[in-house]
Parts: sequence; structure tokens; C-alpha cells
Amino acid sequence: MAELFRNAWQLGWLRYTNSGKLTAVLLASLLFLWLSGKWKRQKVLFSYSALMSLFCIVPVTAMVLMLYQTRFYDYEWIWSLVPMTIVCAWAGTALLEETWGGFSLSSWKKGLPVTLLLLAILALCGGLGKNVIDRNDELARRQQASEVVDKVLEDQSGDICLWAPREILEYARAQSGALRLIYGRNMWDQSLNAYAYDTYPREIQELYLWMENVEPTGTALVEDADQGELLLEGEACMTIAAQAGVNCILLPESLDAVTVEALAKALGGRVDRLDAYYLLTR
Amino acid sequence: MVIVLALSMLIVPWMAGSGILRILYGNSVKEEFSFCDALLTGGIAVIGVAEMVHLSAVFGHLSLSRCALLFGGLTGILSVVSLAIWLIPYFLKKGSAEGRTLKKPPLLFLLPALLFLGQAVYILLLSGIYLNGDMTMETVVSFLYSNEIYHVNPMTGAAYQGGIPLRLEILCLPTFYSILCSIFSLEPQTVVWQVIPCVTLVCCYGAFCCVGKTLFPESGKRQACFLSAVAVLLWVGSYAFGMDGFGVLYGGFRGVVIRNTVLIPYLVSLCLRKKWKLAALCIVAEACLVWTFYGAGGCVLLVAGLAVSRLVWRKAEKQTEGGRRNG
Repeated sequence: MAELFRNAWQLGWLRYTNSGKLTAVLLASLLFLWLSGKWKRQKVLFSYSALMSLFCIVPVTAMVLMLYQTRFYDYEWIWSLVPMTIVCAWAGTALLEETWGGFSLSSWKKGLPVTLLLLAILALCGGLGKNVIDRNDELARRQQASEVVDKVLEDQSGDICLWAPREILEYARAQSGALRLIYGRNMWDQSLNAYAYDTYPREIQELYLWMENVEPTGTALVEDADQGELLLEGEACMTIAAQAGVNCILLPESLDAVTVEALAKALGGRVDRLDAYYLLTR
Repeated sequence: MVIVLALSMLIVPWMAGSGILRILYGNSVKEEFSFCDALLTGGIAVIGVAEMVHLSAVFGHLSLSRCALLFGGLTGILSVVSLAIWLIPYFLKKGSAEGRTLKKPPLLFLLPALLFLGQAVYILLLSGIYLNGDMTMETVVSFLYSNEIYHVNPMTGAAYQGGIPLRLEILCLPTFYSILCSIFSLEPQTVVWQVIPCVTLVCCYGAFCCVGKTLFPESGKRQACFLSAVAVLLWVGSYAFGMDGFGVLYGGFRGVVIRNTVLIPYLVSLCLRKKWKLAALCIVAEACLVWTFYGAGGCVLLVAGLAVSRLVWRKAEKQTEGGRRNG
């Protein structure tokens, strides 16, 4: 319960208002509707919105709402219950109607500055046009992954079970249903684990850690929550992968050629080059 | 095919919605409901059909290709029957359709229209896809490849070992998207990441249009200003995950986004208009789209909140009136 309370306050409201301040606009809108008396036209909507906003801000009631929506969803989703966009747009319309004299162009001297000021306030309360997702970067990564996946599918026939670095596996299943993966995106995106009761055994988790931290020599020194520092050997990982049914591995080109040969031997397969990767197949 | 799909996703719901509204509300439909109401009600009906098909696939072990046939047939029947129900009164009572005169919308509507177009272009050409915590694409690809529903774990492509939560298994969106890919022979990336977010955007504006009409029934200019404000707020609110703007611009295919940007605004408008039957449909639609776990969902709480608020105000007004009479 204490953790949920902490989520509702420190990780909830404070984090929610950290990246943008649209909630401040909501509170200002409610205040404007109250002071101008416009709220009386829609008492039901106004009182519901005001009360629900309060419930979402006060940690104790926020905690109750979080319990209602269950712990799968984070704090930000309790704000779904507040018609934020509706209230802000309603207040904005009421204010603009007053300043534009019932939306008459002749009132531009008063209406235009207020409109620009409102837009500036909104821009400051939002992310100032900051791109949340770098489309070019995302597109480039997706494209690179899909090219590699296509080449793997062209080169290999039959049932393919792939083990590759995260940047490939991230998009592999979205690109083709023909591939099986040793582990999927839910290895690093923990929220996806809620969608199935399947779990990864410890050895498979170690394969992920090895692949993401592998040195040119084929070993990986990783930090483990239970065992402290852990040295993972490439050959041992290849054996585990082979036992798990992996028949196609992509290794980063930063690995030494000699190491790759040794790893291929441990896997019982052969080595080819595929773009920026070594392709090990068996 | 993309255009055909996009048009079908607007025309079919509109046809279905027009008939359903007439069944639910009789002849008062013309005065009380608009094109947006028909579109959204029909959209909910199509989700209902998708849910039925999905449940038959999950529990009756139907293949995806059979699901596509079933969905196509049911949607076709729904649209034709609904359209007939909507049109019959016009044929029976000739001239009644002429009673309604179309008002010319104010020029101010150009502003939200332009902002909407900008957002549609942004979704189609410029925005990225927010994939964290979502596996819709992997699920759709798996369904299409295996021609089965939840046959393999979408994350790995291997058979499930522990299984899948039942509440999740009964959500219909992945099957719905797979069926659309199958019927229209389109790539899942095109359908899920481009067409569906655009349709969600259209429905989002439709829902806010209904809210605008409810809040400002007498003034088209106010409605246009309201819609413009909504459009600006969607742009501005795209700064963080969980905001309406972010959802609609970066993840319009997610169930929670459809709930937050379409169902909830529409529900607000329905509750303010006291259209409780349609409100009940929205609650059911949420259950088909969003994983509410053991919670009853956001729509129920919203309807309950607005209903309680209405009751409290009505009681307060009655007390005030009683006090005046006694005084």
C-alpha cells in the first residue's frame, strides 16, 4: 500500500506534471469557468470534472483510483477519467467568444492578442513542439532490422529460430511471422510480460545479457541482481542456444573473427557475413 | 486498397449507425442525432461484430480466413439491414425527408478542418510509432502467418507455455485488424500503423464534434471554435505518454487510445444529452477493446460520476424551488 501511495504522489503527479503542464491549463480552465459563471450552463460536467481532477491530484484518492484501474496501468491512466481536453476547449471557447465579441472580425484588436497569448501559454505548457519520438531514428532502425530479417529469411529455409542483438529482435516479429525468436521484446520491455503467463528461464535471460554486453573476445561481464558480477562465456552461451533450438544467430561485427569461428564451432555451425553482423547457422 | 479500406471504415459504420439509432430512438433520430452520432454508433456496432467473430474464433477454434468471411458477411448484413431501417420511413412517408434543411456551416470550421488535415498528414507521413508496452503488430502478424487466433506467443512465435490471461484473450482489436488485412490484402504495417490511427483521428473529431454540439447547440461558430481548441490541445498534448494528443498521434491503434479519445468524449456528450442506451453501448465497447483487468473500466466510472452529479444538482434545484415556494 505504501508503494502504491508513493506511486500516486512521487512517481504519479510529480512525474505527470514534469514533462508538460496541460494539467495546469485544466485547473486554470476550471477556475475561469467558475469565476466567469460559465460553469452554470453545464453544472453536471463542471462539477464532475472539478471533483475528478481533485481525486486524481490528492494522493489518497488517486491511490483508490489506481486500485480501481488495477496496477497494470500507471498513474497517468487515471486521468482518462477527467475530460481534460473537453474542459480546456470549453473554457478556451468561452474566453475567445468574449474577447472576439461573439466571433466578430471587427473585434480583432482585443481578440487577436488574447488568442496569440493563449496559444503561447498552451505551447509553453506542452512540450514546445519537442519531438517525443525521433521518427527518423526509429524509421532507420526499423528499416535496418527489416532488411536484415528479409536477408535471413531469403538465405535460410525451413523453421528458423533466431537469436540476435536487441535492435534486430525488436522489430523481427513485427516484420515477419515466419521467424521464431529465442526471446522477444518482452525480455527488456517488462510491461509486455503481462500479456502472457510465459516466462523466460534463467539461461535464456543470460543469453540476452551476453548478447547485449559481449566483448570482442566473446565474453561478457554483467551485473546480476542475485549473483553480483557474472562472467558469461561465449562458448557456453552457444551451447545453451543450441539446446534451446536456435539455428540462426546474428553476432555484432565488433567481435574478433577468431572468436566468431570458435563460437561457430561451439554451436556446431558455419559463419557468413550479413551486413553489419556475423551470421552463424546450423 | 488503402483508400477503399479507409472509405469502408467510414461508410459501413455510418450506414450501420443510422439504422441502429432509428431502432433505439425511433423517429426522433433526425432532430437529436447527427452524422457523427451515426458514425460513432456504427463504429461501436462494428466493434461488436468483431468481438462476436473473435469470440467464435477463440472458443470455436475458427481459422482467421473463416473469421474474415464471417466478419464480412455479418458486417454486410448489418449495413444493409440498418440502411433499410433508416430509409424505409422516408419511402413510406414521402416528403418527410425534406423537412430538414441543411444549414451552411460557418467559415470558421475551416480552421479545425485544416488542423485535422495537418494531424492526418502527420500520422501518415511524419509521426513515429510508440511501441513500448504494446504488441498489437506482433499479434496481428502472428495471426496472419498462422491463420489462427492466439496459436503462438506473438513475442517469440513459439507455442504458449503458460497460456494467456482470459480477459486479454477476449479483446478483439488484433483479430479485427488481422481480418481487415486479410479482406483488403494489405500489409499489417499499413493497416495498423497508418489506416487505423487515421480512422481513430476521424472518430476522435467526430466524438468532440458531438461534445461541441452538446455544449453549444445554438451556435455553429462556437462549435467550430471548440473543435479548433480541441485540435490545438491535441497537438500541444502530444508531449507525454497517456495524454490524448500523444495517443492519437503516436498510437491510434491501441485500445486505450480509442477509449480515451473516442469513447470517453462521446460518452460525455451522451451523458449530457441523457442518451443512456448509447452510453451502455460505449461501456460494452470499452470491455471489448481495453484490458480493464478486474476493474469495470473507465467508461462505467465516468457514466456513474456524471449520473451522480446530475442527481445531486437535480436534488439541489428541487430543494431551492421548494424553498422558494414555501418562502
